[in-house]
Amino acid sequence: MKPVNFSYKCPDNIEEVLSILSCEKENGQVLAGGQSLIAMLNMRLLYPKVILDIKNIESLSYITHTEKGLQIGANVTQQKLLEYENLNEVSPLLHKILPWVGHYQTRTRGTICGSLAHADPSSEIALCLALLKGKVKLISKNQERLLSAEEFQKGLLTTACHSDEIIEYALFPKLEESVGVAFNEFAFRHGDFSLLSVAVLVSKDSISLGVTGLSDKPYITAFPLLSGDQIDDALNDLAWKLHGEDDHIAPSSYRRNLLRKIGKKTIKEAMK
Amino acid sequence: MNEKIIKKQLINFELNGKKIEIEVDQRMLLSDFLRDVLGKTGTHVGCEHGICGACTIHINGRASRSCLAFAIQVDNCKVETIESISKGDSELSIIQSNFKKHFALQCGFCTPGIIMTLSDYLYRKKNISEKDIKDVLSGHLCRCTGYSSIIKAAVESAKEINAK
Repeated sequence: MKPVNFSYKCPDNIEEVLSILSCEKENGQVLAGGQSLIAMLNMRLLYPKVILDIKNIESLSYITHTEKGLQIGANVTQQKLLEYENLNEVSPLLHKILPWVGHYQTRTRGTICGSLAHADPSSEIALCLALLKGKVKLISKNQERLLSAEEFQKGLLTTACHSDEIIEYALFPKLEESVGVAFNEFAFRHGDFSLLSVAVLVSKDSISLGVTGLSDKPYITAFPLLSGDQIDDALNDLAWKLHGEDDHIAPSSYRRNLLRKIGKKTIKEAMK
Repeated sequence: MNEKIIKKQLINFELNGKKIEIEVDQRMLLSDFLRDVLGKTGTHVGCEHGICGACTIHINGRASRSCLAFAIQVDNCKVETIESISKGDSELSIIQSNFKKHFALQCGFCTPGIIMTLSDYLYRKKNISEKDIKDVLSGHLCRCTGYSSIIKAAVESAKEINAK
């Protein structure tokens, strides 16, 4: 349970990070909060030669609130965003999901962009980005790319980020005030990896639903406004469509049942 | 693939109010560094991947897992461990006295981590509810107490801290 030997670098500007990454390619690994990365290193699932800590890069430590939404730099911790002034008005969905992300003790170091880069299939932050149709800005020495959440997260722990790129920021778009928002998840202990999470947005004419736990990345779908049994039927169809897989924690039937129950509860909450 | 030479680097940081300058192995975890190099064995090591919470300390005043940080990362930071909590050898802090009063520990392995979390969290907000306390304690595993005595101790500490 100790990481392999590596060399540690802590540049204070982004240009230096990008130039090291362009030389080291897949031997280099960017470290932000480290709350997933260091666990992966401890278990030796990763063995980079160079660790690039970005903690001293001031230009990545900002939260900007614009017309487009919330732009969150790569160094912003989950707890810092949770404590952002009026977050419940600025981004009600982020305000609802963040208390479910890890524990207080990991949110104090874990970052928003780091969570996206790790791309755990049960990540609440990735679910939120996908449901809000957010974007991720990637930069390397030679180019910049702005990818949609859909393009960015490819699947289980896999993203479109190349080995010489770093996430500069994530953009969580603003919702209209009339949109109803709700989030629920099930885990055996609050803060653990969830078995199933559901986030719902209800607008005047449709329901958008995002779910994790039945696929290798957040699955986003939309329904027309439904009521009563129609909701049960739609969720049942969705549960069978996604199906899910049996694993050491729960059989797929258990997860499908969770979607039926938690899905309905969350849609109802968002409709209020 | 691994290079045999362990890379070292000099760091400066503040541990429990004292400035320290020391050379560290680049890959050494902060939890191991505190225990094995600096002898602060109050910080316990359980799972080493952020699940159990036994190694929780303060980095720049915030409760954090010391097994999910490298010693080298605390360069220029302030670190506090359980050794900094009581005001002397005999005087317990508010949280420690309430743990004693409510029998909030049995084997004591998880206790330093929990006290470090509470001694950050309870001082950060006013009017902390029992639900908030349960939420923040979810980041710690205790296999002895069943948590109810820990929650009682934390609720009473919150009240005392609030009244101050």
